[in-house]
Amino acid sequence: MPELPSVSDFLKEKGMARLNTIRETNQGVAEGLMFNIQRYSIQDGPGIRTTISLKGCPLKCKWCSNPESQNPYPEIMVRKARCNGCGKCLDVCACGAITLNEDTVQIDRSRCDLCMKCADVCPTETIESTGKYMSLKEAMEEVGKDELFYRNSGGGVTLSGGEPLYQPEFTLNLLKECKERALSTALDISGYASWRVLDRVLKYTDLVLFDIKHLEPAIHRKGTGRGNQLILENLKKIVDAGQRRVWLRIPIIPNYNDSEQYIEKLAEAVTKMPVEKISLLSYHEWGKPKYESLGRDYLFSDSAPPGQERLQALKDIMQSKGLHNVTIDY
Amino acid sequence: MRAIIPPLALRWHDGMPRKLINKAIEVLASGMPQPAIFNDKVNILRLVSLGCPIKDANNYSINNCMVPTIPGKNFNHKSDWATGIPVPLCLNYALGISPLALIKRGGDKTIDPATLSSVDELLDVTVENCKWLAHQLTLIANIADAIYQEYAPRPFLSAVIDDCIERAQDVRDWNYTPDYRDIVFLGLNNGADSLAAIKKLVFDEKKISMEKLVKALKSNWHGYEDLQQMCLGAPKFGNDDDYVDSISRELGRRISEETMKCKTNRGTPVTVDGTTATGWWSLGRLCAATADGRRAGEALHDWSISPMAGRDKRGPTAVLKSVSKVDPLMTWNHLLNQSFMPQYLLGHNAELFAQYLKTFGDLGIHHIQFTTVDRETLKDARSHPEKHSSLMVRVAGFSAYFIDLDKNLQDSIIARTPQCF
Repeated sequence: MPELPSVSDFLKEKGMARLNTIRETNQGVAEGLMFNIQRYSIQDGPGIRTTISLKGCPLKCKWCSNPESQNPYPEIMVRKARCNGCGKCLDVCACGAITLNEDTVQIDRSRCDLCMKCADVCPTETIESTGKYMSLKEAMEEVGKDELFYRNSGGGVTLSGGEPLYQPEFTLNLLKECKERALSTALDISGYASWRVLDRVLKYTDLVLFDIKHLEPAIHRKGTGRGNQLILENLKKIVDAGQRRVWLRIPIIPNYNDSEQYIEKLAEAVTKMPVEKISLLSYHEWGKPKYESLGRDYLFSDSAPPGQERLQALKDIMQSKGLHNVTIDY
Repeated sequence: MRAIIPPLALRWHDGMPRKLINKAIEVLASGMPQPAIFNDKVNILRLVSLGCPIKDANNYSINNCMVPTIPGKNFNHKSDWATGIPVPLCLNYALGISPLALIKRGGDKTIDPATLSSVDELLDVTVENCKWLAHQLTLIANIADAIYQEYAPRPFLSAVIDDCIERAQDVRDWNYTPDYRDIVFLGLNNGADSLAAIKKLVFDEKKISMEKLVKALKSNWHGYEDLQQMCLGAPKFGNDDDYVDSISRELGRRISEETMKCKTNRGTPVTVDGTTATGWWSLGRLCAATADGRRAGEALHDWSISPMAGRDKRGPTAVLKSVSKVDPLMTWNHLLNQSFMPQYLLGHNAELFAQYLKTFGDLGIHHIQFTTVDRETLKDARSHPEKHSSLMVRVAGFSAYFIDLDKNLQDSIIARTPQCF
């Protein structure tokens, strides 16, 4: 009987060498995986904030401007314009995944095992690893750096993503720790998580930023890869409990949820919800270059962002339905 | 009034009327680089520590762009000498790299790269060189002062300064205590960034040898491009990173201490001042390549405490934190320039900007002034991305470096950015 190949060899052969690294790094990790820490963050809650963006999301929105936020493991981003063709990455790559094409680096992602050695040696930051594991202590050190700014401005800490509820333990502990230091906390979520998880973290959350992508389950699934039943149920539970400040965030996506009829329907659905603020967030295409650096296709390239006039018209519709807390945000 | 001269200075304190703050932000948002903001919390204390009576210190004002003055008092009108010493020049000279004949002539110190045992040793020698230059310049200034006093009285100015008429003394003769004579140091943070790169790459990680680095600097990085990239990747001032901020603090304090040992003809200490004018550009042309990754002849960081252009990547709060660590009271009269996209000063964001300014005050930073990023800057970033690598574009839940965006997207942002004055 022929011997079975090892799992790791099998994955390598099938062009999924990266899964080996992911399997190893995900075992027993008590740390948080984040792709960005943004200081002087002024769009994700009141005041001057630090936004910690956790990597990994159950939704795969086609218009996502942070595609590096979706997968729950570190990835390689390649900004080819920075490459000087030095070839150092070739020397350290054990998978033979890297070639130079006209003095510019080229990565065959089916061979890459995400060991990140190329990113370590790249002198020009052409190849970068996105996604960094951080302990609770390290994250709190980072959060503490701008404490004075939070206090003066009524700001605080926002956990965003990706989906912070995708790393429930880390999110819970970080929020707890923030509350222990009397820092104001906000949670920016898609709402796609079990209530058991959500209920626990809400205790340590002052403000919830909650996205509504679409009210129709089928259309929601088409745009994001998941249905919306869980999301809408969770929203109702949060609002009904009435203990947390809630800001709704409505991404306005062309040819998806930007029709007058839909916005009217949305206004009717949220009109009785005691939310503090409803933000209309315009779709934008600035995330497009990130898709290229991740070696993925941008599926949304033929859509133009809605202009200011269009957003204003949609805001007016919501206002005419009695919603006076709608703002156009960036 | 959209005039750049005379420069406007705004004294920042906790009791400022909200209307005044709002007005200041409105002017800044229009693209004017004014008003420059001076923090009472540190300026008054600093003047008192120089020996100024508290009553006079409370009444301070700003002469030209940076020099503290006391209206009606003979505080800074006696001498006329100020010049700049680039800190990186002193550091490079310590390593035997310098194109300048000026400091080859005596007193100065160099160290053999092969025997260098720690970055502290290099810092010591750098400070020695700064000290030597400060003493030489003081000597020249003292001679100039004596000549001015004898041959160039200032009768018009004397007429408007308290006590000159009563005492029948020219401003150059009448001795108000203290007086203010300064020496300007430039490129402090190029010095700190260079020392941090040496500390990290040569001593902590032992990735490169000091001899090789000196060779690379002497050849202006030609043939050592990988070394240059490594140095550029070392910690940089302006990112709230203690690794390098602590070096900047040590260097700044030591230089200030040594400079205060220089005495004017009246026996009062010479202070360090941040009035760099355009020296960071013109004196940068004299400086050879530096270990922070800068090439020969390139500008130093702007003004006296700003991070090197394009190397502060953690946003404006991190810059303030870094600057506050350099001990504004014990070091010098620092000039910090910050650049913002106009959107940060408009509408709802103006309120947050006001709170950012309040925190600037609380952190005890000496001074700040602003430029707003205008279309020309963005166009320059489009064609010279390497000079603008820290320029961020942010909207909710998204941020990216401007230089990484598509050319088309860059154009659309350029089109939306107002043209500034």
